[in-house]
Amino acid sequence: MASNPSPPPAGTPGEPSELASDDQPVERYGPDAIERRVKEDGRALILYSQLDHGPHA
Amino acid sequence: MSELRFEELRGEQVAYAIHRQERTFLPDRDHCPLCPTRPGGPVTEIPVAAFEIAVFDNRFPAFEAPHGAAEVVVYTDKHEGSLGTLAPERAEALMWVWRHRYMELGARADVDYVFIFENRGVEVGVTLHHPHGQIYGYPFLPPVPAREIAADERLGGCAPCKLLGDELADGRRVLVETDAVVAYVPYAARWAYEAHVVLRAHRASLLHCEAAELHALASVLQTLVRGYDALFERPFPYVMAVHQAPTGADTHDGHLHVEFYPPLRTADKLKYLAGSEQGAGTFISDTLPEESAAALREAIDRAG
Repeated sequence: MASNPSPPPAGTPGEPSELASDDQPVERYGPDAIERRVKEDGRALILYSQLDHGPHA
Repeated sequence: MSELRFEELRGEQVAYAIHRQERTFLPDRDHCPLCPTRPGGPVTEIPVAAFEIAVFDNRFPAFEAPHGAAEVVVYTDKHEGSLGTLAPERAEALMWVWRHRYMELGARADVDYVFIFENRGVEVGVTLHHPHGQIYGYPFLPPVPAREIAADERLGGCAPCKLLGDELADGRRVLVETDAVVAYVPYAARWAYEAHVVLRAHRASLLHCEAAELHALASVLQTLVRGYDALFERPFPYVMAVHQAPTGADTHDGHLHVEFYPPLRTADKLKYLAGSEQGAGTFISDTLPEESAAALREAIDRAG
């Protein structure tokens, strides 16, 4: 068996983790690719955009 | 709020999410909650005029913080279509969104297993037709990935690596091959047209993939879904399950692969999970995997 992968760092339940910062969005697409919103009832909404323009597009 | 109860006889968790009885059920197109919000129309889950890919917390979650997560992933703002008919660049973008969600949800202390999946068709219980999938963040390791870890231990190494090697050596059940990804009907398929899409390289998760591998994964997934639709010349229902390494503190290795469980055994007959499957846990299949693979290869060729 191959060695275990490094697990993502633990975060606080329900809270954005360190990895969730806008400095590291969908790595390849840059920080402008993600817009985070909070709905009136408190639920999260994430809009991913500019995704169709990567190197393979 | 959901409640977990442990079923001692089977040794597995059961989640009670009784609020889900009230969830939206097969609305007409004008009331689709996954469409963008149109001027003068009802406010939908995505209150913008247009979007590429949207992810939001499920309004009727089976799991929610601080005991897991349930998200909806909307592939497109177009109401019609499927994973197979997305533009190739959008399908590839979806792989990156999956990867991002795996990273974020997997980083949470209350998520031990990130499960990306899609239910397609009323035959598997779909309640919204707009192209979308879901993600559950389980606060425990569910039985199926646990069995895959047990398979690694039983086989003395990575089970998907070994099974992929066996399938390539045999060749009769292989559906699609690229440099990075292979799709095949497994040797012991439970469903008539079950297929597994597997990374050639040992990649524990989407996070471990190269960009070219994500590109290939998207392409093979689309090819397979289009082949499914061509098989009986109808939208082909399925459950699609993305299996990756667990993310809990008690980590195990994994091998990224995507499994498809289509319920159709002919163009108009469903496979039901009946006495043997439910009561004894043993699938009885009417179809040989080699014959299913031959039919699927022909359909994939036909779909182009």
